[in-house]
Amino acid sequence: MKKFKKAMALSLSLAMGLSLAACGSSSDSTTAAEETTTAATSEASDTTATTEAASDTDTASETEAAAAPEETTGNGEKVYVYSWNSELGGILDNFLFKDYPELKDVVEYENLNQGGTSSEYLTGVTNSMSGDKPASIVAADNDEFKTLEVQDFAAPLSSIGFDDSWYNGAFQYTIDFAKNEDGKLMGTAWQATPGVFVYRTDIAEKAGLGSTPEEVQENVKDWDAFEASAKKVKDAGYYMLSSVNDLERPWLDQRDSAWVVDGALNIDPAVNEYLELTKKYYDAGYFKETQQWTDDWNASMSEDVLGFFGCPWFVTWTLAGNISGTDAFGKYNVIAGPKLDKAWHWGGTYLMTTNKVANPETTAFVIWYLTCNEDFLKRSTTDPSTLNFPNNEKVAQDLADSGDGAIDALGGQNPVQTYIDNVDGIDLSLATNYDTTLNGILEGARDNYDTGELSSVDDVIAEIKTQTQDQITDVTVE
Amino acid sequence: MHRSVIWPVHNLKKDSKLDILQKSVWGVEGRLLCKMSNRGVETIIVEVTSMKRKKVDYGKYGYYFLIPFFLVYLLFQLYPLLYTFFLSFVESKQVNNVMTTPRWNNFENFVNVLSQQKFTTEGSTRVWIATDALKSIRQTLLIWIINFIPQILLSLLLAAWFTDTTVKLKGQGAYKVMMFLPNIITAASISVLFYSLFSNSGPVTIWMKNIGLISKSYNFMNSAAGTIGLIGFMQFWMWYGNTMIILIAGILGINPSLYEAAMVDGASGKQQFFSITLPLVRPILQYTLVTSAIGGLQMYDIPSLFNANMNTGVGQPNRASNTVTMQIRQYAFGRTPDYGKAAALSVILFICTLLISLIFFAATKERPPKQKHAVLKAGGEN
Repeated sequence: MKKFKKAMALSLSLAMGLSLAACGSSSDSTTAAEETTTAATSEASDTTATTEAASDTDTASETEAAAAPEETTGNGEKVYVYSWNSELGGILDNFLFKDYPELKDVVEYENLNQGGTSSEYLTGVTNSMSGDKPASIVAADNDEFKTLEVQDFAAPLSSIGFDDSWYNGAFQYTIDFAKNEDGKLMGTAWQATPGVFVYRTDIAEKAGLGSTPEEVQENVKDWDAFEASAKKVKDAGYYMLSSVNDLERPWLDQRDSAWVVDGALNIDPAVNEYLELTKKYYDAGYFKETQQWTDDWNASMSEDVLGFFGCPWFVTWTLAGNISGTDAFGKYNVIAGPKLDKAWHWGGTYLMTTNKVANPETTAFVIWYLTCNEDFLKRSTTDPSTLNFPNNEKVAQDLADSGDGAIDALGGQNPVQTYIDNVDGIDLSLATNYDTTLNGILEGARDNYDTGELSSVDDVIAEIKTQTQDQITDVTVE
Repeated sequence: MHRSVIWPVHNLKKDSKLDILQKSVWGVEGRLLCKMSNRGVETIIVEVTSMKRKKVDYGKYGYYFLIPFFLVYLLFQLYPLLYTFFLSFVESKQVNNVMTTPRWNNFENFVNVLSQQKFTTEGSTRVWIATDALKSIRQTLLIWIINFIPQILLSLLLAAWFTDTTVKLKGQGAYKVMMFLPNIITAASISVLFYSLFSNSGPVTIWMKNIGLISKSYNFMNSAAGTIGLIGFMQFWMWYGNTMIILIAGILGINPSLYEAAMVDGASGKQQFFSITLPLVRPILQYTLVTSAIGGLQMYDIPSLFNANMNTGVGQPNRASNTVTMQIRQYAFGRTPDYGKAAALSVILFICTLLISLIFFAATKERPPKQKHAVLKAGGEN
């Protein structure tokens, strides 16, 4: 028996050891095979790449867009694409790899599964730079882009041979936003995110705000009208808005100065106005008092709330997802919303590159494909897996004119022209890499003001200063 | 050293003589001395000249088996502990997106935790003690007390009922399992579940409003008492089953003859509980108190998922549900990490835990019972 046990143990351990060895050798052999095949293709494409580079320099001085890059596996080295969820990976699978199957072996998607604005995501990307799989392309949330842009690993797109003129078709605000202090383009986006107002048609009708989008728009055309309508909605037994946070995005884009100016905390007068407005609405009971991104906020979309400040991705994904299967499906409409001094936006994802790109040609091609390629952008607008609002004026206009942008959740309304109109005037020049934290501090202090813990706007400002001093070490507070 | 062994003669076989020692199993060498009597050889005395006994040292294997534990302990427990103390005395924070190299700065981190620049409408002042960091310690203790007092009372009561030999509850196993179940669910799920139930449009909130238990404008998430009360309740609900099981084990360890004797003497159930159960289960109570206090001071998962700001992670409202560990995380992994400050607060938490544990040990220490009667001494020695 003992001998049998020993023999058994030996054979088991051998089996394990051998299987490990087998794994190691098999992966070695496959990579070796890859190298040989990709080496062959890279030699072939090298010639085209050099001719292209030459043509790039010719056209650089002109405003015309340079010729689009050709598909290439480059030098065959891996291109690692880092993001925080499965969205970008899905786009690669459904579009890029279907169009160019050979890129499957070169482009590898790494899903870090962290919040896009979390410090864990930044840490994950930073750690990858010293690991086996250094990021070639990094997805950056709109809120974190300014933070990632100044990291050591960040590199301008021109460093991988990306021609800035390829991106000329994009909406201007995304170009301005993605330029760093030296005016170099640091990132590109495949979707634009203009802010709009989405409302429930049935509740609007019951509250007497009108039955067509035009009539409702007239009733919320500015903040006075918005407030009067909020009262009507409340009298009809509904809420105007769901969470207090819903007002934040439109209002923060009304600032004329950034959160941090010359390393010091700066509080724009628009923040004071925002605080007063929320307090007024809160006391009047216009909010359902849910919290953004929680279950009850999601559920309120099919309950008793008139509307939400949203944007294209909010409408196609958040709203449509939450109301599908409920009575509210198809009962929403998109309108421009209150006319603000400035247009506003919400979110967006930018693709950045790094200083450790092993395969610059393919990296540049992938970024071009995802953000500048009109063919892909056009298809992604109607593909049910993406439903983008494309970051390309021409494609967006086509979508509006052709009527392909109609959305079931909106009862067949085509909101694209409203989106395009609301893109005008978006200005993200005030973005700083402290915005996420400072917005969070503002929300905490605002809640204390709404509930009466703090008695005046000045107290809220003082609280914001105290918290900033405590939570952000390198911003001075006066 | 020579040692003599007396070898009774009946142990020897007839022809054995000296070779019995040469074959000795334990490596004992010696010579034989015979003690003769008139009946022949009576005893053989073996004089042991050397004891080269081969010792099989089983003890060392114990140490081998302990190595993995100590390696893990040194690497993941002791080193971080000592490094935290080191960090609390150095400046190590992020300035303009770059971490500074650790620089010795004495007690500055502690000063930064114990005092804070507070802004008011008039200007700013440096405030001592009334800082956000120390408020987090106060709130943590508050939540722990809200949870622990009902928890220990209910657990004791249930444990006493379950172990009562006169009542003999039926289906005890089912009850115990049911009461222990909340402990099996992860804290995160409980937190999210309670949020859904008690949020402003949650079913429980709406029901309470409808029957007039709370006012129409009340929002648990906007009320400090509501939020920490719910967090305390969640902790209580999660842990009372666990405490109950421990107390049942403690009570079952008490000698049943004590109860039998008390019953013969006509003691009531109440008297039995207060005079037998409670004094004898005290070591277990002490254990529960100390472990619960340590766990309670490190409370993190429930409050951080229940009602916290999404961007900054601060427990709402007005920092009421911001526990120490949440505050440490905000310092260490916030927008601009400050490891020194986080480490200083960790050290303060460590000291607090130590103090509280020591106080509890001292308070629940067993004292010799006071003499209530004069002891009659035997005999007339005076």
